[in-house]
Amino acid sequence: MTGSPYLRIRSIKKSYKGAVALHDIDLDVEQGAFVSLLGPSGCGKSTLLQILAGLLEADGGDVQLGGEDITNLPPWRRNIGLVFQNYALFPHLSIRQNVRFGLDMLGMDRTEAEKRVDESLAMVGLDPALSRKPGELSGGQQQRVAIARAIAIRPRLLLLDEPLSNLDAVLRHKVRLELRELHDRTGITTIMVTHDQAEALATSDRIAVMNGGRILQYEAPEALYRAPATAFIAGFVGSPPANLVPLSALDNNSWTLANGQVWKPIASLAPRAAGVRAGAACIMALRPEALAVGVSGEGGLPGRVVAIEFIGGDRLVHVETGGTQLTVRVSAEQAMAGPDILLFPPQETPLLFDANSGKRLKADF
Amino acid sequence: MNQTPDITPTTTTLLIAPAAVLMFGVFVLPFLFLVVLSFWSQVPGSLSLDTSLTLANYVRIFTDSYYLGGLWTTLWLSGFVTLICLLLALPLARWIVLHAGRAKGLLIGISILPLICGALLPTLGLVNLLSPLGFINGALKSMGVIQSSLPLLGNITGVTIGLVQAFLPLMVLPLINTIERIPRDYEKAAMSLGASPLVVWRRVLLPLMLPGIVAGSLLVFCAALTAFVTPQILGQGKVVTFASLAYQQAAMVLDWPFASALGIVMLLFLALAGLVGALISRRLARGS
Repeated sequence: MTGSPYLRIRSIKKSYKGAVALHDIDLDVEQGAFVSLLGPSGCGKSTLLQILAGLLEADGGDVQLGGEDITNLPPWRRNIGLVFQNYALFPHLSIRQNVRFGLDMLGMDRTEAEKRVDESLAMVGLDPALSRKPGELSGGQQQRVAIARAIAIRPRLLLLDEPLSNLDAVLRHKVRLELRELHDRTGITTIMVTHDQAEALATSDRIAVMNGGRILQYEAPEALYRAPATAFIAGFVGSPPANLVPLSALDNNSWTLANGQVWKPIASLAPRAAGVRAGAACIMALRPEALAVGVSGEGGLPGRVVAIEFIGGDRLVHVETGGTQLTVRVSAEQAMAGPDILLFPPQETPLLFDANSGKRLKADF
Repeated sequence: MNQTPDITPTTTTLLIAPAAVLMFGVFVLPFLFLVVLSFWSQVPGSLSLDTSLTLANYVRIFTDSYYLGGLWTTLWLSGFVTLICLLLALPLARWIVLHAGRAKGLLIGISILPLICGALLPTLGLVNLLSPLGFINGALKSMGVIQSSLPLLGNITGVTIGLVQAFLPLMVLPLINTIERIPRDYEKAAMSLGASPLVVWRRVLLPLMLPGIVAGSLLVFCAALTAFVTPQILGQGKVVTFASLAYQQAAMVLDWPFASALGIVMLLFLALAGLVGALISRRLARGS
């Protein structure tokens, strides 16, 4: 089956009591890829994961894995590993028994199974001699056991459902790196559901951003960051995410901001450059790290500093401008004049979106 | 300033006192008397008691085949009722937890109804259902399934039906309590690891439900062991249980010492069941 993707999802639909959870989802995942389903809660990402695992039945559409149609295969015949947010380790079994559970289901003989348990535990950095019950482990260790249990069966696909959400911030950072390393070592095709964009950006080869039961964009992390397809994505991706400034075109050269204030930017950011007609309502996404701060100059966006957060190395400056509050990331060394300042967006093509559809407006070159 | 009354050992004692006096007067004293009484004997042919201590009553229970038979019947009947209750309550409790939704409170209410309305009323209702001219036999006959009435009263079948009906709630409630605390992710995880639904039950759900199963079984077993009204009415005197033997001796034969000994033996079996239950629970608690 060369040419066709390893995991092929076609027109998967799902509704709960009339409320649509998934509209016609199409998604292709290459063998060995690490893909994230990223979106806020209720966007349908977990529903899609459950359908892939066979725990939920789709209303329509089909799923192919390695050329085989698995749409109607029960979960226990899919050989798909699953890791949960709350670990879901069996509390009545020891750690080794937990990891061995899937191997017993395969009917693997004892010595081989024990060897595989050792391997799997070592793979996630746990001591294979652990003979304790899951309840005696920390959250991070429990999650490692859960991952070891899922990879012990050498699954065709590994599904991670918010695997890091129950861990504290420091551990979350550490485990997410480990997840990526583990993926690179095992080569298991992995799909991770997360609401945390930093997690998705850090681990994934590609990210499918979901909202309202649809996939809005499916791209590599850099492309997603550089060229978000919708204002929603721009306002979701990045730490902190892009500022979304609502504005409408006054004429070819200037914008009206939310509070009626007029802003005349440099030519490359003007409505004319973006091909926007007068009166059109738009949203401009401004990356906090791409805004320069000054006190005088052409095309600056006037604002007033409301608050400054020191985040180590950098400062986040919260600026009230034209009726919208923006976040600007500046180096901690940079002296801040104020409170009245000018913000200078980068001179490249602006991230400009239609205010109604949220879709990106392509600059006219 | 917020003044809270001091809780000293003295005030605690005072608070407990009324209940303690009551318990001592109506439970502990009669119970001690029961123990002593069981070692006395009845002077044959009279109502006077021989207060010299003797083991004769106990020897009689464990050597006379009539009483031994009654003890044996009671024990296996209780075990059998416990098993049936367990088999009926497992799917029921799980269904209530998973699918009842808003009707859950109502369903739990209905299922504990037999506990609330006492033994007599439902048992008399069952007589109407089970008698040779009752609803069940009548319905089966009119459908042509059977020619003559099935014997559902005055035998073990009737008593079993009655006891299961009466004590099912004692099994359902602890099971609901246990099942509610088992996250559904366990089943999902097990299935993703290749366990079919049957294996999920055997390897994951049943072990996790074990505390509830032990608690429910203990309650049903003890209740069935001491049940009096239901076996008496549905057994129509033909099913000899330990409670009915004690009643016979106490209220008809008027051999109180022997009736006391029967009661003490029953209590010993209750204690034994409780002990076994406690041992299993402790084992489970240590295991997890």
